[in-house]
Amino acid sequence: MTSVLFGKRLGTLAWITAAFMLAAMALVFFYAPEDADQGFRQKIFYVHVPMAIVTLFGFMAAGIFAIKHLRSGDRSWDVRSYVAIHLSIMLGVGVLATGAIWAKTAWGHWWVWEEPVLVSYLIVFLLYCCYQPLRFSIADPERQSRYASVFAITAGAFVPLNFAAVRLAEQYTHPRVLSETGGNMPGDMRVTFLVCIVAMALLFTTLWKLELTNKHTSEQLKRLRRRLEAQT
Amino acid sequence: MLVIAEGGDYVAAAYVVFVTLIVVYIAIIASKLSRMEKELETLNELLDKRAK
Amino acid sequence: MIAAAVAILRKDLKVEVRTRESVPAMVLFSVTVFVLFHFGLDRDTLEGDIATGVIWVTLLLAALLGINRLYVAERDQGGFTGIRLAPIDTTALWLAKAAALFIYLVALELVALPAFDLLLLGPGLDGALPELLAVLLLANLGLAAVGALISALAIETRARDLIVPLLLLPLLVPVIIAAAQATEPLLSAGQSPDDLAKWLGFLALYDVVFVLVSIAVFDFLLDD
Repeated sequence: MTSVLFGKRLGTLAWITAAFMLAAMALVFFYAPEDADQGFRQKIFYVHVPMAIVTLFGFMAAGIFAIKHLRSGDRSWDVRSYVAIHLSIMLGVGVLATGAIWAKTAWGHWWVWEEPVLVSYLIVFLLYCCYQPLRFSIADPERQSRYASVFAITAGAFVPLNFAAVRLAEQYTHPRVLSETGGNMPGDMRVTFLVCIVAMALLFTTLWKLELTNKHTSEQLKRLRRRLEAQT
Repeated sequence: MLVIAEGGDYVAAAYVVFVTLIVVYIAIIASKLSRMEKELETLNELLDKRAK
Repeated sequence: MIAAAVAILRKDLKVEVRTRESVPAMVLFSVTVFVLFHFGLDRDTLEGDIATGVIWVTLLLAALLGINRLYVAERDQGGFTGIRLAPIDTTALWLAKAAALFIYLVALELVALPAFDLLLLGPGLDGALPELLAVLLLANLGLAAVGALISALAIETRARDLIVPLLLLPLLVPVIIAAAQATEPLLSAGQSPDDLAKWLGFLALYDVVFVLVSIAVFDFLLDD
């Protein structure tokens, strides 16, 4: 395994992330105007939507890392892919939870089929939930990484197709909330949104690098211990 | 300036979910880190003993 | 590579014709499920969206039966090693399995659709037959490509029969969405298919994407 320093510039990244998150929160609560029809509860969107966007890109990025892994045979790409998926699933739970909270405020139910993006997301989430069981049911580590990469690539190609299908199938009477907050957003809302998305993306990257560094370091420790014990 | 209007508790719940997820994750990483520190200590002691 | 795929395909079809394992089970399963739906929904005839749902979900679940057994012979009798050692492109195996699965699905539909028409469907199938065939063709292609890929992925894992449905069903959701949306007007009395082209186009896109992904990725499943 090649020697890779995952933790490079992790500290700086973390500070920048913290700054952006603070700025984002400030904008959400003090700057962004209250939505005309939904009122204060629209503010949930500043968490829900950026998390959803970032996790979906996380899944697709994992597919790209998997491609790199299969082409180079370098296991460090597989680790990057694994951590990206793992992190996206974790935040995915948050997406579904905040989505349910919002659905409860908007329509009084914890789940609605009318919101196509939420439905597509659930399907993607269910698919990726199988990633870890699949990985850990294969004993041989080299085969495990290969099969995991195959899955990541297939599932990564699936994400855009799935969203396209659900969106095409829309004949829903409720206006899509994303269109009413997406298409005709006033300028200050738009700025807030952008900052929130950047902040979430930075958060994801920081946590991703953090976990990668963690994994890498514990691997190094194991190797060190094994070499020491071999010498005794 | 901070307006807690109707639906405010739901918004709070959403943010709490978000923050909790992050904090839990960091806690997990932190515990892994402390375990690694302990391991590093034992390895160092092992080396010291041999050096003697 | 095509020659190798054809050779494997012919072997598989011969085995299937002689042992009659997959296809009759899939057909029997479908008819049984129709009966279950009759009791479950407490209806004598179905039409429109419920009919669409019943037929597509049944076809999908029956397909799972066939998909689960697709590589069993290779696994138990060392076929994988044989393919790896032979001087052929390993993708030929995927091509052969996908083709076999496609043929099984066609055979399944040849019996299951008339059975559905007989047992449960209100409005007849005759008016919309060509459109229905187009939808089935494209949907089968997608099912076959993805089924052959995922079945190979799952064959070496421990909980093989569980992994296949868990992985496959979400991946096939776009196919179900497109097929159901396209089929629904065809199964309702007196409705003409309006956006059929849109859904056929989407199914074709899905098929192209997943055939390409499978071809690109299948080799890595057999490397050792």
